[in-house]
Amino acid sequence: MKWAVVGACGKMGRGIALLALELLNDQKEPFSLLLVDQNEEEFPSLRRYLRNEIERLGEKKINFLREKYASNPALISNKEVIEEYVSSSMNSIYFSTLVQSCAKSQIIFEAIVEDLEAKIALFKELDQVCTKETLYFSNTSSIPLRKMNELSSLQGRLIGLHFYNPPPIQKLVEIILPIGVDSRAASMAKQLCQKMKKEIVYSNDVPGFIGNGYFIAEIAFSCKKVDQLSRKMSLEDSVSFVDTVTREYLLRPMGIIQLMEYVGIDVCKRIAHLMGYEIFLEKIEKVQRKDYPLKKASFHWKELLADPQRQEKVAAHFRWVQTLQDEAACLTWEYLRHLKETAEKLCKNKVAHSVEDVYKVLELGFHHLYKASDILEMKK
Amino acid sequence: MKKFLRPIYAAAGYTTIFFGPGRREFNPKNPMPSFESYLKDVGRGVMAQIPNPDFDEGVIGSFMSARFLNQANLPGFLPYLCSGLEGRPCTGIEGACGTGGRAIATAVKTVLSGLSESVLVIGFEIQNSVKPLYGADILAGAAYYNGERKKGLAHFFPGIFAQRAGAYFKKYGEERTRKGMAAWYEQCIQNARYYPHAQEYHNQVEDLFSLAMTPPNPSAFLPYLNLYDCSKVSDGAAGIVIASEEGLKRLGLEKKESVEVVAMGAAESDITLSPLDLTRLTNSEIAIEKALKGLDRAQIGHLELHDCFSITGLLGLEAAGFAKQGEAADLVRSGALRVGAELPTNISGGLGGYGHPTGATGVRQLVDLWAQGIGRALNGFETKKEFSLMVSMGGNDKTVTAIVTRRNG
Repeated sequence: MKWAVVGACGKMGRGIALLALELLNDQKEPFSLLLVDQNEEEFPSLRRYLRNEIERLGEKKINFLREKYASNPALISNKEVIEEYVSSSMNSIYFSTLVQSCAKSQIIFEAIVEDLEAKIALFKELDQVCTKETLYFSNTSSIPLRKMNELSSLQGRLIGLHFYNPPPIQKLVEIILPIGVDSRAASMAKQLCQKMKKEIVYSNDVPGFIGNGYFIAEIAFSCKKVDQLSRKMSLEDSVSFVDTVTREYLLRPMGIIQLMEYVGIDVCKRIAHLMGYEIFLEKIEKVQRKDYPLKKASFHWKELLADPQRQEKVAAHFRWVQTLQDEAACLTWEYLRHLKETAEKLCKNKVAHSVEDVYKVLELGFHHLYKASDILEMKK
Repeated sequence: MKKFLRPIYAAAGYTTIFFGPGRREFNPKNPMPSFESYLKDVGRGVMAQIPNPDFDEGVIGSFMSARFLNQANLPGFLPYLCSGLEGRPCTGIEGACGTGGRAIATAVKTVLSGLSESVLVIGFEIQNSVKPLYGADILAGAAYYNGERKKGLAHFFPGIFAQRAGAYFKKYGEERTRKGMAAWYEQCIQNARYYPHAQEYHNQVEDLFSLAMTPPNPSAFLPYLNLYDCSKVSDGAAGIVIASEEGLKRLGLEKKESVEVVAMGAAESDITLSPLDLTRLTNSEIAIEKALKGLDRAQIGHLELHDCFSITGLLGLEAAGFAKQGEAADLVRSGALRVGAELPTNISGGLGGYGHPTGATGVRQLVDLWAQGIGRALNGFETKKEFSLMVSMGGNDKTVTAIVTRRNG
């Protein structure tokens, strides 16, 4: 069995490589995993990452491994078992800068730059060296799969498998099936995600899908808010204010500006452009963001995440926000209303099959602790 | 009970912190206290009680320092922690988790022989130097490694006693036994809360019983046993003095500050053989019977059992003859083993509550017998009865030493 990951040295690519390696390790057939990237100098770092993570995985599944290696009399201690697991895994990985090395791959994961032309060029080259049986899974977060299939002539063998960052940890995968999808590819996508123990949300093949459908809409909304606020406070203060409110009062792991920086401002711009949004991040990206002094909330995202009394505490938090009646509180409600409208629009515009799917993406992909619709209902 | 040829005393006991994941200050990402620091600490703790630390001999016990620390030749550390032992005979002892008991027995025999009048006994172990998963391989050396490790579970020794628990459940009822094990855990932690050096000293969980009733997770850990059934990986040291009457005098110690070691029983079992009956600790029965020969169990007022796992505590009660076969769980749940009740057991928390640095545990047990015997137990417990019993066990009931003490006065 041979699988390949193209763009393997990137943040997403290496996470997908680890998931693929774990899956291949767990099945009985001999395998090879080819990791392709232009940045050859990153190969040692990728190798180290995979080695450390495979060792960690081996420690977690030691019971399974002891059974797997039960018939090998030389592997007695946990250390010996795990070392064997790591070395046999690493011996099945190959590195290359050449796309042609992907020949004879049954499955190829694509995780290169979010650029239509680059992806099409890659898929065309891959199709030259691979068979018509090869299945392709793209980690695109925004480019329609129908378009990519058509332009690369992959005839429905290319499916969107959009992982969230970082892939080995994030449970959510958006599966995007283009019109005319190859049924083998559709079935394989589902199987792979189930074996990876991922939560699947099917998104329709509309630019941005569900995740970016929400994210870019909220970025655009945030740019508007920063613009409005900067008429009465400094740009630095308005950026910091929006960021702090979205983190502290909306109970999120990061504020919206920080999240943009984490994803990459250029990436956000590219995706927004693809989706037909005009967003002007040039002003925002130059600002030194800081914590804006707000009235202190009693609860924070991190402590609520695993709290069994989370729902009551979230409700208590928003009841408190309601008492504030200041600019931060107003902005909080505006964001919640915008979020509710965005969720409904994504459904209405047939990006998502249901509003529930949207909220599932927000919960699993963006770590939202509640549904905006529930909070607004409570406020009435 | 066969009288010793001369009276033997235990005195000046001390236990370091038994350090591990139960302690608030434990963080596997931070450097751990070194083994040298434990040895220095226990040396200081014992010596601080002795006006004239002029020992004739030293005995040091540790199970697997050669693997955990790459350190052997341990007798050389006795003059390190007690300069008075420079130039004196020092002996290293190993008996798996029963090392401490064997170290004490060695010292007792030396004094009985008349070759020495006073012996400093130290037991220690460092186990947090490796990840528990790999420590499990090292500790598997307490069993027949070549014959058993391969087919054993990832968590080897917990797996051994999980088998015993499974057999016991089948024979005497799972729910009844499980509740007894939960009650055992609850008592361990509640007792440990009086002992600042205990691993579970900081444990303030309210409903310990419910926690210990957590169903086992065979795929993630073990069948039959949960995490609360298992004593935690520990680093620590314990020390005590074994001396004749003359030895005590020479050290500057008063007899009333000591307890008398009045009986000992030891038994060894073929390590290559599996137990015939998983629901009994038959080798422990032999050792305890020897130690208690001629003594009425009703005269025992304090018991220290080797509860590496909660099931082992229950089996130990039955092996010591304080509960009939299959009834240990009921005895534990009756509250009869609590401090202040009929037979206070594992008063500082035992292995489950105090911790279990394998080489130190047996010595710690005698320290507890001694402290209680002279009215210095930290929880204020002092038995009205004359005798106390400790059982130090190594491996799967292979290396057992039982010791009886009598309080002075």
